[in-house]
Amino acid sequence: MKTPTIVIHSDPEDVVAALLGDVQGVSVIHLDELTRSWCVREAEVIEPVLEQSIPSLCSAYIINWVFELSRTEIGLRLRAFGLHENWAHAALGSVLARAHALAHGIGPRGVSRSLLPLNVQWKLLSGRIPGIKTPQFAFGFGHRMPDISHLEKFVQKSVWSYFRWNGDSDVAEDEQQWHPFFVEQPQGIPIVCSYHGEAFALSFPRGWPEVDLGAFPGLVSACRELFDSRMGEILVYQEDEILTFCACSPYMAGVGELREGKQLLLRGVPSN
Amino acid sequence: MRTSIEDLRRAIEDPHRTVDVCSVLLDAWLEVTPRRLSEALSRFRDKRIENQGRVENFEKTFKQLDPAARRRLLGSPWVSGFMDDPDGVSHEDPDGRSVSTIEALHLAATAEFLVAPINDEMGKLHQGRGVESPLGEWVLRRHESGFEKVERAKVGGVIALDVDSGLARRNEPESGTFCNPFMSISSEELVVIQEKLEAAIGLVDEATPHLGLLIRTFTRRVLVRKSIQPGDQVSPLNLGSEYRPIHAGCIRILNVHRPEMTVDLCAEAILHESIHSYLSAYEEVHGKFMSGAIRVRPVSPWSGNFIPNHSLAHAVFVYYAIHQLLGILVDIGAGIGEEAGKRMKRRLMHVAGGFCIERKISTLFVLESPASPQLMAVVNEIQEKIRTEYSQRMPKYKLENVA
Repeated sequence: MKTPTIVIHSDPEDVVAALLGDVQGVSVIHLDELTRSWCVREAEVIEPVLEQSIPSLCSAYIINWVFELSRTEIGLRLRAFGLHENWAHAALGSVLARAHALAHGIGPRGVSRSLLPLNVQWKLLSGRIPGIKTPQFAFGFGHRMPDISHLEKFVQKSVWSYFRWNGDSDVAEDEQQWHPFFVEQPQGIPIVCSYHGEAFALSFPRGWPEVDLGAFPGLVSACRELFDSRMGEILVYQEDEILTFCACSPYMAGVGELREGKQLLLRGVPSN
Repeated sequence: MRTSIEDLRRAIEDPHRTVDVCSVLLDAWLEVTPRRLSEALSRFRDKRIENQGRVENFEKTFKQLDPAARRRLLGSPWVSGFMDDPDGVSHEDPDGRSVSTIEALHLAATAEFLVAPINDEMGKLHQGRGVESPLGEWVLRRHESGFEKVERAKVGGVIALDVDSGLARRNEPESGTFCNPFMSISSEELVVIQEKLEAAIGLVDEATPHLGLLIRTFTRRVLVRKSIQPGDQVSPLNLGSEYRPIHAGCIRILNVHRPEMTVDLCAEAILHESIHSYLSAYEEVHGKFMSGAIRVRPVSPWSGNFIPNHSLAHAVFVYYAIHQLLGILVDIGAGIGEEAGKRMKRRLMHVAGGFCIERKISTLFVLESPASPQLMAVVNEIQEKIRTEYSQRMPKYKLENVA
């Protein structure tokens, strides 16, 4: 029997929340609803009071879809009190402490392993899977530009942008000159591997290469563990049977377009 | 006796240990520094024939110094500045001429000889070069009638306040503080700066006297850079501070003349940078905590910024010390007013917030080779201590009662 599942999201258009919203045994809560009665005071630890209407989080599988607080009501309250956003994540952590399992790590980007900078992902994954390639890159320090003489066909990217590799600028204004990040565009054919638990499905945005499926269970397992993500989307490029790992994203941006997307999400829910 | 990483932590948290740890470490540092200097000089001498005379001149002067003068010189930024970049430029003299690091080192050594009136040979050597003591406590100013020895103001009784030396004017594009062009500080502003820094160190002494001692042991000069005028708009970047090991024992603080740089912020800045100086002294003696490579960098749980692994290791000790200071100041009130009290409570929560994350801080490092297990153990213990303190205040979530 599948574990009761709760999706906590912070985006009204959240794809996973939309796909699972009408499934029996799955509840969907917006973060604003969860945090409505949380007690946030000047220079105090947040007290996470839960309303009776919130479904029991205890022993549930939680898809903790909380990556960004800036547009949430709790985010506004934190700013009003000048409180570090880590305190909201810590409060969430205490609320979720008795859950059966969490889909993602807790914390803001860079602190949660589910949201690591690209070059940290590459370092960790290439240390785990022998023979996999990762993109060549150069990373500046502060306002200092890095040496990019060793790079060919490179683009400036945001170190936080997992899935945009076509050369269009995805760099936020404040990232242009601050810790500038340059990456060689990977060669070959892109493959997206969407996974939840051990279940995975491949999609091919630009043509169908001959794929050795045998490589993917190991890749999924490594990403699940290294990036503390029970669900995610892995982008690899395949060229001459060699895979280049580009990113593992927790956002599941493409799952809505997958024919079997909803099934994939349900198959990954852990059993009791 | 050898300082361990555990000792570094103990000196911050246990006032009974601070004197021992600081004096053992400073002695070890003063023992290792002349050896390092001698090695650097010998490499420099062998590099080019013309370097030979320059090194010999310095060594001749150095040999004539008494032990106290040698220690003052060794503790000065001229020694670390030379060792960091033996072929480089130290600063510009008052006439805008570049002074090389070996020249600056020699000038500092000869300054230890100076007696008034200045003798001819010294006068020639120092002509226009701006003569000052190695640690910056005094400076010789030239007048029409001759030279005058001017004592610089001191903070906390021993730390020289330097707003105008060649070092204080230095331009460093890669620095967070000295990338801003130097602006001269008026005598009225100097009074404000001095009073504020004095009050700041007074706050540290009142709340955590052992940290006041640590500051005085590892900080010998405070360089204040003015980068904005009184009417200019202030951004957080204008209120920064910095420590660079290239200038051992010198901490840098921006725009202390501005009201936004409050006494409590100054206290935090002095302690913050002095802890860097303390940790750097340890690293000089016992080796770097870890590589300073910057190709892959972790994210600071305090600022969210990409920082080198090495800086993250420093940050844990720095914020541990600041947490001690602010925690006590907030408790005792310290007569600092409501506004400052509120600001310090917020800062305290910010500092604690960086420790109160789900992951162990030791797992945030992204290193090529494993970090020292002792260092990682201390990092995790510090985090755990603060996390436990706050988790006791963190109520387990509760369900709202139905009315």
